Amino acid sequence: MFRDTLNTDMEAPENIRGFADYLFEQKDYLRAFTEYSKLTGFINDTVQFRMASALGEMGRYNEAGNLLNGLIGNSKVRTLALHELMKNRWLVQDFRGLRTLCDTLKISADAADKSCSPLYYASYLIDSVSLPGTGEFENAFPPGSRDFMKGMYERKIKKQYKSPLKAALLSAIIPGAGKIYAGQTSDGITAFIVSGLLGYLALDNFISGHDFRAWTFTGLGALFYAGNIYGSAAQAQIFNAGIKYNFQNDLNIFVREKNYFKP
Amino acid sequence: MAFSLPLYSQTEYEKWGKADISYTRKDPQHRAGSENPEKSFNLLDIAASAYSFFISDLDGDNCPFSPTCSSFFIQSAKKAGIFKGALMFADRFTRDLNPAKKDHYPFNSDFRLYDPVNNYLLQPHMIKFIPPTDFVND
Repeated sequence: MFRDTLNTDMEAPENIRGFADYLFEQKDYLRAFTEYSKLTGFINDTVQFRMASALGEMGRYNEAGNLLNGLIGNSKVRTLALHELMKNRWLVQDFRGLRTLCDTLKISADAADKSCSPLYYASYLIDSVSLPGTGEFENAFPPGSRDFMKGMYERKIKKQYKSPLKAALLSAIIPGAGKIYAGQTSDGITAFIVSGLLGYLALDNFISGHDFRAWTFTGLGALFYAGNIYGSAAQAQIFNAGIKYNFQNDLNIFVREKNYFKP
Repeated sequence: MAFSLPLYSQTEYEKWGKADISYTRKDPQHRAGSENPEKSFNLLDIAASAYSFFISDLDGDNCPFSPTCSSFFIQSAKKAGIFKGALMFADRFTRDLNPAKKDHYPFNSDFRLYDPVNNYLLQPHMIKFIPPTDFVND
């Protein structure tokens, strides 16, 4: 691992740097950052980039962003810093900031900057802004990712959401139908049985002349019938939240697997 | 120096001493109305306390949901009004009657089905979707 340093100054910058690099490669980011921080006066672009990367891995994205902003001007790690900054903006869900950063840097003729396109276009799938054209969107991604991203684009367009109003109306006509429409079949059947049973009990008691019981069951039946309509609308909203959650989750997993489309 | 060590170390007698056991339930959420433990003359809190005393304490901690159905009613009535709270409760009670509900909800640390009030206020921005059968730290 580390050479025997009985006769070497442990606080010498080259030793601290060597130890910090080792910790970084071992993914011990907190200790690596602490060691890099000791290099006051010897922090070059590479060290600053590694410090920012370590902060990003620890989830301290704002601090990482502050360090990276100083590297996307004229530095030898400019391209790496740019991609790391885009990854940070993706993780803090600042998608407009991500696109603004890319738009600002597209002004330059540097080919490496144009490689910010995949994450740039992927961010459109999560934001609520209008989507770019299909061709423009697909061509932004490398061949290995194109099919998946095309599928996500189509999922975004098709939007298999359920209407809460339609769910409520269905449940008003047939108790429980709205819940079945919103994806909860067993809840819908239960609501149908409960509303039906209370309605039957009310009717039966009215026919038998037991008015007090009949009105009690009528009240309970009305409450559960209204509750079923309300619950159907709520369930449709929860269904839509689930669609959105699963979509974002699938996209985040894919982007992470592709290492945020870093070159 | 050797004789001073036992003065500072834990003795066997201390380690195996009788523990004070308390059977007081630490989980307040099963008691309807426990959200406001101080004395309250609010009708809802009075009804909740009466329900806890006369029914819940005798019936026991049976609700598979978290919050329990009675707590759900209190919370929903406080957040959305008594009428909307009653509708939310009726819906919750119907869902509780469903024997096949276990796969519809995530679990909390007590292995109860996590079903918060905020998901049923008909306000989409308040819904926090958690996949069914996931675990939640509430």
